[in-house]
Amino acid sequence: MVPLSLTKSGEKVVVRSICGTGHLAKTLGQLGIIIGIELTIIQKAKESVIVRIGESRYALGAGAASMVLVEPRK
Amino acid sequence: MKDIRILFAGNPNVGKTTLFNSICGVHQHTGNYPGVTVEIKTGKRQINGHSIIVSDLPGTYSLSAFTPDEQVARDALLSSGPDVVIQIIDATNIERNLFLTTQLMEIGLPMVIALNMCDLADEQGMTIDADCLERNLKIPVVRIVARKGEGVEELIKTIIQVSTHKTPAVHRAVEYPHSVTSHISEIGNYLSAHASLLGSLSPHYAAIRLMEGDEHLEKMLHEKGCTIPFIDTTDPAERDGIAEDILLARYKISEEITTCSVQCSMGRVMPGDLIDQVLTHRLFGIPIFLSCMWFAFQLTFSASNPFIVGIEYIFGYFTELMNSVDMDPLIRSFLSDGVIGGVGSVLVFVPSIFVMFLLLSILEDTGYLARAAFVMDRLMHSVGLHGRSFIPFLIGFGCNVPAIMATRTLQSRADRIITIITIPFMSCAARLPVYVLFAGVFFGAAAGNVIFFLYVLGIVVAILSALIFRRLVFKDEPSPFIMELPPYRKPSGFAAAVHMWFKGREYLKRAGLVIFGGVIVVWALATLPAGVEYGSADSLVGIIGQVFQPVFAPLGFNWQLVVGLIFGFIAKEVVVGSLGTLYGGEEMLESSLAADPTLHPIIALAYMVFVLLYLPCVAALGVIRQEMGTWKWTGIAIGWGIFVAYVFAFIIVHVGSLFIGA
Amino acid sequence: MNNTTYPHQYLYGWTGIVTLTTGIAGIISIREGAGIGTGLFIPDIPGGCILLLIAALFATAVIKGRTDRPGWISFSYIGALLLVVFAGCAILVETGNFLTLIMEGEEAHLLTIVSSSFIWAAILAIPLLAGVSKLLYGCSCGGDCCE
Ligand SMILES: Nc1nc2c(ncn2[C@@H]2O[C@H](COP(=O)(O)OP(=O)(O)OP(=O)(O)O)[C@@H](O)[C@H]2O)c(=O)[nH]1
Ligand SMILES: [Mg+2]
Repeated sequence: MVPLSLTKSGEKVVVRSICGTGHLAKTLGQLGIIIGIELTIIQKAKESVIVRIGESRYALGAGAASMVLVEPRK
Repeated sequence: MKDIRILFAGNPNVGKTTLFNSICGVHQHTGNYPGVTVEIKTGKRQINGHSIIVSDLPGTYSLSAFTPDEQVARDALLSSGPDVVIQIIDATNIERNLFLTTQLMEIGLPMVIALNMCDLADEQGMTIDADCLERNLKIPVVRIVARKGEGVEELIKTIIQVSTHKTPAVHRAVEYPHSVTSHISEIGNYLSAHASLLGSLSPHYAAIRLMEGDEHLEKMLHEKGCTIPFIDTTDPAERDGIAEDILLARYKISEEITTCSVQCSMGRVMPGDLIDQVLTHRLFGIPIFLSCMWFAFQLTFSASNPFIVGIEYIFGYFTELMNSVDMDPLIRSFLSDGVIGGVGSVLVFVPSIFVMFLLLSILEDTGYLARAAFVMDRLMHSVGLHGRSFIPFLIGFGCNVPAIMATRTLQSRADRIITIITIPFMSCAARLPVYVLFAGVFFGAAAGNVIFFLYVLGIVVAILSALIFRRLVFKDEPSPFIMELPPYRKPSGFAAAVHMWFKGREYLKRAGLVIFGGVIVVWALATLPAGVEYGSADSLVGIIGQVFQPVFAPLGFNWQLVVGLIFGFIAKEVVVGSLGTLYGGEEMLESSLAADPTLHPIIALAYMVFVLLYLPCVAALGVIRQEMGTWKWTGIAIGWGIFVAYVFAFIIVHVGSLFIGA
Repeated sequence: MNNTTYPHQYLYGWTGIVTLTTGIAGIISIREGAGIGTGLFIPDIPGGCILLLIAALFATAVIKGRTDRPGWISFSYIGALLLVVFAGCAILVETGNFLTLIMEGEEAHLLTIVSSSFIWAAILAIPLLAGVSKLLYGCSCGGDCCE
């Protein structure tokens, strides 16, 4: 498991865990970034990422990206 | 017939405001990024003897409401008791949108779903079975294309039908796992005994909201002295687990319904993703954004120049016409000094302002704005600002008032306060006339560079202020950046022009009222007391100016400039308006400014910098107070602006005079 | 690079040519701005820098194109798009300046409208934009160019 901020552009990953609770985790949850969901990394700029889930694209800054732990999709 | 009150709810950027505009025939602001609408807008439509009162809400992903704009939406949905709730759903992204549907369904209000952007869904080769959606949700579904007005009449018919139903609305229920339902019924039973505390919420629904972690409701119940079993006794980890179960149950039903009703060719690469790889590139992202800004700046000034010259001709013609006609000197002075001198000096700059509105609206429609915020996030973060604050900043170049409102999309209060304090340093369109006038008179060919410098200075001061407040006052980090990126859309020239026209017309209306009013007051004060030489030091305005002038003496401003600053508080355009009145009219303004012995380029620069930084206008001040919520922070924001303006103008005058003296 | 089959081969080559011309246009603009040019083009240092930036985008496209075809498509598409849009802006700006001079009764040459180096660089990029945007949308509709 690695944080989203350490993935590479173009990778397809699966969310395994979301660190923290608080508002931030809930915000991620209501956007559909939940455990078991599949993400495509569209862009990686330093620690920030843009991910795609289905038809939505989300930009996550470094702080938010490091909270999402993912595994490469087999 | 009774009024039908309906609410437009839905995720951000699904076209709620577009539909609102098309139903009510108005022109509220729309844009292709989440968080355009941040307050409730209400409109009306008469049809077949029914009068429908529509409220357009800010977009929200869920009812949890972490930001002020989402709270506005949540409060309207939960406590305003509408007749029908219309959820607008983006047909290209049904699954995510259904998450909110599962929450709205539980409120128990009659609902209608408007499936918007069906044109895009068709284009992307998706087939959506609306009947299947309707059956599964037990909510009427109407396909619409809000931008073209397709399906809107049918939607209205359905709304009227639903609102006249006598039986209470029964929608599909979300199936929670047993661990959740047992708690819900336990809390629900307890709450039924306290139903009076819940307002219009049903105990069962309130129980679900509490389990989901609705802090607002929990706080409200606590304040009314109600202790809730389970919520108050269990440890947070277990509660989080339950909240998570509820979340998953909602996603499960959304997914289930989506799979059965939507067929599409998933898994393809979108052109938008490829474009994003370049526009948000680690190295190229910021330079690309800056070059776009550079051209926007060039267009604002050069492309509008011929129109400015044309308007100047027209006013010149009027002045001549007036001089050739015989009339009472007082009336002549009113027309030439007051109307043409004051209002004319401002109206001359309208073309630039129109071009700027046009460019901003194109920028908002393409979807690039949200990418720019992402690209800037790292930079913004390092100076203590939230990346999302970048959008209010850009809006602030048009007008500070909507920009300050737009801070409602930020989660943390510290982020909001810092952004509100720094927005007035973004040079709004109303300040432009001052720059163009002074830079043109005192800097000649270098005027363009001076104006560019002023814009940059505003940004630099904003950054410095953000750093100071973040480091010294709040001492925390900006909250992490999370934002949905809208799909790219080709901007429609027509839509942008319409948008520009309505924005510009609003500006002209303001010019007609506020600026005209302010200028008339200045003119009257310059004429009174009777018999005094117009605009001389003995007139009332001269006396006012001279009372305050000593304060500005270290900056070298003469009393006319000081009067401009004082009245500029009404609206920054009035700075130029009142100078036009005092300096002998639109035609004469430039030459008499140039001829004034008390003015030279350094003072002109200091004056422009002061106007850039000092006080926002009354309108902005009102909004700052409203959004800050306290006078304390409003006072700090204003005081900081005046302080910074004075310091910078002082430095410019004194450092500058060293050079001039040398 | 076995995947650059006809007609992409030519388009790819054209990207190389556009890289060169854009870069040269940028350098000319900067030289004019610094006062050591021919006087044929409008001096414009910021504009020159922007041209160099776009040339860098094209260069990236060329380098990426050797292994990663979507990378080539996206970089050359954005480069060409920016170039063409900016050239349009440049024409508007120069037209504005020209009309202002005329209206103020000063001397102005109609030719200044088209003497921004953006315009010349953009004309060469138009075929690239047309070709690549087809590929870009082809990609999105499940075409063969990706993966
Ligand atoms: N193609 C297409 N575009 C649409 C349609 N409806 C709205 N749009 C576009 O979608 C974008 C968002 O529209 P808005 O009306 O501002 O969205 P909103 O739901 O009010 O967004 P927020 O106020 O941010 O919550 C705009 O750029 C519209 O032009 C539609 O039916 N078809
Ligand atoms: Mg809206």
